[in-house]
Amino acid sequence: MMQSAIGRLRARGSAKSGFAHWKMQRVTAVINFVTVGWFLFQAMAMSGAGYAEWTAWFQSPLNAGLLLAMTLSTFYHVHLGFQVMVEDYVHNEATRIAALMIETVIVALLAATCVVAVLMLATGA
Amino acid sequence: MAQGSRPLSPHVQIYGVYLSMVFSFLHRITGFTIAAGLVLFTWWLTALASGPESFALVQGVMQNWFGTLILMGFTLALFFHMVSGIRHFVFDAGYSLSKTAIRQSGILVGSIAVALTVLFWIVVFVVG
Repeated sequence: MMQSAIGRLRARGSAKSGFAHWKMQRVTAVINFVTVGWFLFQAMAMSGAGYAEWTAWFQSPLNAGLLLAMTLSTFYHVHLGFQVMVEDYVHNEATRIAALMIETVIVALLAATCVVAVLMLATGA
Repeated sequence: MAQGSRPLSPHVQIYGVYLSMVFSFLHRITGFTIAAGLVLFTWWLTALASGPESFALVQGVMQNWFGTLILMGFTLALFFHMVSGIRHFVFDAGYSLSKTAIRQSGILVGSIAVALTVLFWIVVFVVG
């Protein structure tokens, strides 16, 4: 089993990637809180807006940049959260591995699509 | 040794329902709901990038009472998960872990989430 030097030294069990997972869930939580909070304000101000208003909104590098950050951080957070739930509730190993793989693929595809869409909107393509 | 023959600690189905448990589940359920809602967000974003016709289709599907109801549920899940997330940061820091504090903070989180959702939609209807 892979263990860090300090994990082996302390002999207190596994020191694999658990802490990085836990930490990144919280790092992305903070980024999400700020960017989603900002976007909710934007959505309130833009309510009733149509195609022209929204495409104009994306022309601002600040809007496009923050939305891109929100998208990436949110999908990463979703990925980490799903992993915790699957590992908690899916006890059959084969099903668990399959569920984690399917989830990763879906999240990666959605995230990639969003990134391309934001970049297209930002550049006016 | 086979996994099945190992002794297991009692899991959720053994216990009755406690308020602390409800708020823990709600954090997970709202997280899942938001993730499902991200499919809608992706649809909205790609439609906007694809042009006016595809964006009109999204608006046509979403701009009615049912679409609004879905979005209201989505924002409620979002506000709950955000405020509940702060509660979890407080737990991480080691505060507010007594039985009473956990119940009170849970009810507080739920109330704030509902209030924020109502406030959000009032502003949306006033502005829009």
